[in-house]
Amino acid sequence: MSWVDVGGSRIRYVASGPADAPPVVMLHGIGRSLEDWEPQREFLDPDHRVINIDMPGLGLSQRLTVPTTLDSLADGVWAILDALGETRPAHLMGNSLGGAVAMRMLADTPDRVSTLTLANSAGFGKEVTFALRMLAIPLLGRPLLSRIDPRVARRVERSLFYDRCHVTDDRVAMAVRCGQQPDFARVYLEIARALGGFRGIAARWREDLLPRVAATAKPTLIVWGDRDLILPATHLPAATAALPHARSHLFPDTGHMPQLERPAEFAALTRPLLAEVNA
Amino acid sequence: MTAPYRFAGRTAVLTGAASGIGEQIAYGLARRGSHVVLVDRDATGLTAVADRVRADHPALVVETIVADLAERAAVSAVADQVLASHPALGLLVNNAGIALGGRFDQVTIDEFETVMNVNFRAPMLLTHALLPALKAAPGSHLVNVSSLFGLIAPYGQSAYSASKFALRGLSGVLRAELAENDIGVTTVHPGGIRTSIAASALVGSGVPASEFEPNRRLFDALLTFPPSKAAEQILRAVARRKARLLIASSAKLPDMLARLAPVGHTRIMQVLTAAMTSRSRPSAAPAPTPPAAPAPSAAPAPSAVPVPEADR
Repeated sequence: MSWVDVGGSRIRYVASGPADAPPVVMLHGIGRSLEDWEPQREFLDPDHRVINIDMPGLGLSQRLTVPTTLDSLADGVWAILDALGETRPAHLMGNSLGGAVAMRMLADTPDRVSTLTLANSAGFGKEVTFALRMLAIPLLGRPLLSRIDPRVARRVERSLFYDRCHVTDDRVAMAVRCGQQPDFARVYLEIARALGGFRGIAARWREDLLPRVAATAKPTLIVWGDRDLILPATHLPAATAALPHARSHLFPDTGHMPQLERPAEFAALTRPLLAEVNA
Repeated sequence: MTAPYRFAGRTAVLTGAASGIGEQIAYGLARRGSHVVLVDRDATGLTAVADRVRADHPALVVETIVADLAERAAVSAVADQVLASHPALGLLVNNAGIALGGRFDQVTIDEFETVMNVNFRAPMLLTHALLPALKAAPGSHLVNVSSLFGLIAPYGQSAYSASKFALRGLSGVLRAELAENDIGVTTVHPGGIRTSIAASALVGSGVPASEFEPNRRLFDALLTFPPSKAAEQILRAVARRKARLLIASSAKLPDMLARLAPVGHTRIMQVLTAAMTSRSRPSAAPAPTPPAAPAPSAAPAPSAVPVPEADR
């Protein structure tokens, strides 16, 4: 684990793999941390520079001075990569909110992106778990997020996986630790309210973003878990329709994080995609 | 049968996969994470469909079997090949079908039997042979693509209608019987779907060429519903375990009419069809069939032809 200062904010990241190998950048979901992507590292870092980031204000990273929006997170990740001296085109991988951030990065700066991998990504429909929609209710969001104790954290973790063997004590402890960060609730609510409300994920930013992502025609992989309780797998057909150049896969008996629940099968899909561009 | 059908990770066998509704079902199955065994007599078309599925969904297992389902031995060979590698199957879609133009007295027995063999015997044989594999997977499902002409029996469709009524009957019985095995059954009645079934229809030997071509073109014009939408409706019906699915208003309205007027609907349909076709083709030569004429067509399908070109 390493830290880098970006515009006065202390950002946590983990990097491994040959420095001259093609970079892979991994982005986790809302309220989550880089641990969600770590199971992919061993499959990629023999021949890639794997950079896994706690996005600003999430995980154990400090927040940015600006309000947390999709734009500020995308700009923030570019700034982190600049600070790390990583300016080559990167393979972007995003889960949930991280997928939307990756799409925003691609739409804004296509020259710096090699491929796009989206795992149960936000951006393809309005349906989202009731737990997240509730946060939009005035005066309700803050108290809901203010005490992430082990019991609450375990309940959240359970909603993320189809197979509960993945709900480990380590994962629960990490979720509690993230929840204790001073700006956790504030950043969580900023981004949740920036992207949607009680009626679900807002259409406006999605409708603006998706055509721009499609226009880049970058090699893209879209995967989903068919038992996702956070963002339903019914978003996958919408995703392949919005990004017709993408290849896709729906994992059976898999929840919100296929990269973690189906690590080898996930890597078997990403590696050929990355290899096509690396060659 | 209450639990929704789950496509991801299971294997589906699909006949008539090289074009039409079948091709779109193949893409829809792959989007839902199903491995597929695609069957068709058209090797070139089948390869193109399989290649596209593989490119878009590299994690899926895509198998192809080229077979003419009109031959009994070919159907058995398909079943053997499927069973050899798939002891358990999630889904069987009997979609392949062919059409035949001509009055009953204008078609030969061989021609009639070919239609029966592809449209009815093949699904019957394949379902019978693959049933053990369907029973082996909990919550599996069977789809039989009948037709609008499995609901109504219009002039000039003796073989086609007979085969589709037979398939509908079999499908209904299987729905009742297989409930005991927790296997769902969906019977599909498509209306006028934009496929090549009319273009590739057989022609009865006794049909004068001068009569057939204009009618084929005429009724081809009635096939308007996009096959991709038809395929989506079928796959949604599978997920929900629906017993019966009518696709497009060209199936729903005749079905309603047939129930309101169990006898008279035949005549009403003829008049409506003739009126519609003469209006829908303003630039064409005068409609060969006057609206009041009792014989709408020697063409494959008077008001709509449902199944894709399919294989045999």
